[in-house]
Amino acid sequence: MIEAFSVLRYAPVLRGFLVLMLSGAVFPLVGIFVLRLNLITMRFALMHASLLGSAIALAVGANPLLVGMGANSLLVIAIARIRGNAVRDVGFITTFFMVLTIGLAFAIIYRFNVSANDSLQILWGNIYAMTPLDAWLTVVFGGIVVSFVVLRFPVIVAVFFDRDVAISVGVRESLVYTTIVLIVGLTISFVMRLIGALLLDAILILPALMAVSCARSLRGTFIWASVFGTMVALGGFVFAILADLPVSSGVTIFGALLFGGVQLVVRSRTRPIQRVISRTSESNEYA
Amino acid sequence: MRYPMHEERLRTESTASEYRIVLQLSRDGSRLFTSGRPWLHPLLELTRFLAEAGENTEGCELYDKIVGRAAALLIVRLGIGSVRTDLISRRAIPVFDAHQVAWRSADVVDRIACRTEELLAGEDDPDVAYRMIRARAIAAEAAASPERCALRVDGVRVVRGDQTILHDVTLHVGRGEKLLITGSNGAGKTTLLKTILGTLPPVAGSVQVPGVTDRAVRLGYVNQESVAVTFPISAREVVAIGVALAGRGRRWKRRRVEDAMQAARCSVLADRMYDSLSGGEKQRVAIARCLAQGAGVLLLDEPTASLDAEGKREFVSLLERLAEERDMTVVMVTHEFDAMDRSGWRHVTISEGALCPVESVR
Repeated sequence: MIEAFSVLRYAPVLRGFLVLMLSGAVFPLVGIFVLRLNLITMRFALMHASLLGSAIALAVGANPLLVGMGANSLLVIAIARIRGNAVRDVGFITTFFMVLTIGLAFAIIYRFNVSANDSLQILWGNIYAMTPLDAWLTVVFGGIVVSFVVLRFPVIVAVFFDRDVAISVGVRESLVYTTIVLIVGLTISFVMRLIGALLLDAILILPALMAVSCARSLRGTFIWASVFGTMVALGGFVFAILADLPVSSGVTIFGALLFGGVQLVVRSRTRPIQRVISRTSESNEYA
Repeated sequence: MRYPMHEERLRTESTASEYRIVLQLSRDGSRLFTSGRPWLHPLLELTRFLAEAGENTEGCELYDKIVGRAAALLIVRLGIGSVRTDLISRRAIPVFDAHQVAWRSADVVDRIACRTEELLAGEDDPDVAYRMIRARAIAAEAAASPERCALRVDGVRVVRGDQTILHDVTLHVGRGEKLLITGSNGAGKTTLLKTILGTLPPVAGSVQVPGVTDRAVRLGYVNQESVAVTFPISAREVVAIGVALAGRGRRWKRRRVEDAMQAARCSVLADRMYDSLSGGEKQRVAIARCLAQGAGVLLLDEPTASLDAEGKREFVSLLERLAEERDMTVVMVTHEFDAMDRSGWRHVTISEGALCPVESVR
């Protein structure tokens, strides 16, 4: 079994492993943004924009991560402007971009004869294909995400709680919201490079969902998300090595199993407590 | 014990020859407080002075130039047992007699020509009288000197699409005033609050919070309890939103949050999950958030919509206590005011985006 892990001696594998661990610890924090601000539809739009960027990069021989990040940044700016002008419902515009970008991505793949293998890499990702530049970018970006969460935590709580309340305490809500969406967009670009578009939720959303089930405060939610994310990344990597699967598949399957297990434990533990809390609240209110 | 306000008064008296004492509180021959302001302001000032100094009126004698029923009720509320006056109204005498207040007067008249005196003709409760007089004083002061308002809305017009939601709304709210804004659904109540808050910019007119450059530091916003927060967030974290931008140390913020929760009587809820709280508890947490923020003006949008009768009574009572003790201005939008004790509240209504007074302060 130990021999199976000897692959870590190879620089690309070790680099991929370390980046995966870092992503597991950091990117679930962004998953909390997606869940709380209900950015599920926007997440798809950003994912498709990143796909479009990667397709363009493959077509012209550029770095897919950088071009994907560029495409996502442009989309975020467009959405922020539209939201600010309140011309239309953001959901409406997001859906429009979601459909348009994926259409353009496949049109470019077809037109420029991007190889099937390269196309699949966009969808599946490949942690071993990360260049040193990709790895350093992930480290820097991970640091930015953690700094944002730690240093701007009170502001994030305000925006999470209620838009009007956030404005009432002086928070520049539009700026914070746009920053959050930008971070979500860039994270999606990184995670797509790691484990691909189809499996991105294993790193981004599943740990955040598990954290929401366990935590009793927002601070706790972020901490739990990071813990679960690391567990998913590490467990998934080990599982993939042992089962001789692609890492992205290993991470996703392990993440799904862990999610199911956590839900079972949490439900069996919290049900009786919730009943007591609900009874206490009622008795207080109508006493 | 030092009496800062008292010393200030004496200085004023000694330097301005035109200063005329119309009210004086003394004990054992030494003056504790004097005032030369008109109407019932001296008694309101005295109330605040005693509260700030933590002083009681035991063994004190009060001189008040003219005592009508309103003044008598305020004097009784202060617990003063001995009163000397130049002129007393016959309507005030039963109030003193009922509370065993000893009084001496140079002259007695049937009534004093004053609107407040008429409004209080049938009132026996000193607390109700105090709330009403205080509210009238604040409203009068805000009308007389707009620069001393807590909140000024001048000629505000708000348009959405091709529909005008608010038509040239003007509203001056005094410091410590309690204002009730009512109106049917879609009349523009919430739009007015959001315009004051700054989330809806007006196409014309202005909203000002005199004395501050940043509106946010003065305006506390409480919305309906029904705001869906199903995410794990503790009551303490919600209150800490009030100090999100305070720019102070962690210890200061923690202390501030604790003090605010104590003042809003919700300290025991600090570690509870917000979505497990009852409607009344959530609203107390919201008030604590505004207190932590240091808000001088509370903007409340249908805050009692999901509360039962007892919860509503408790919540309104909390607001009244804060307005009185902390001089907070309260602007509450609601459509449920029939069962509410509105004494001390100014009441205006919005109809089709236009503001009109329903009644002066009762």
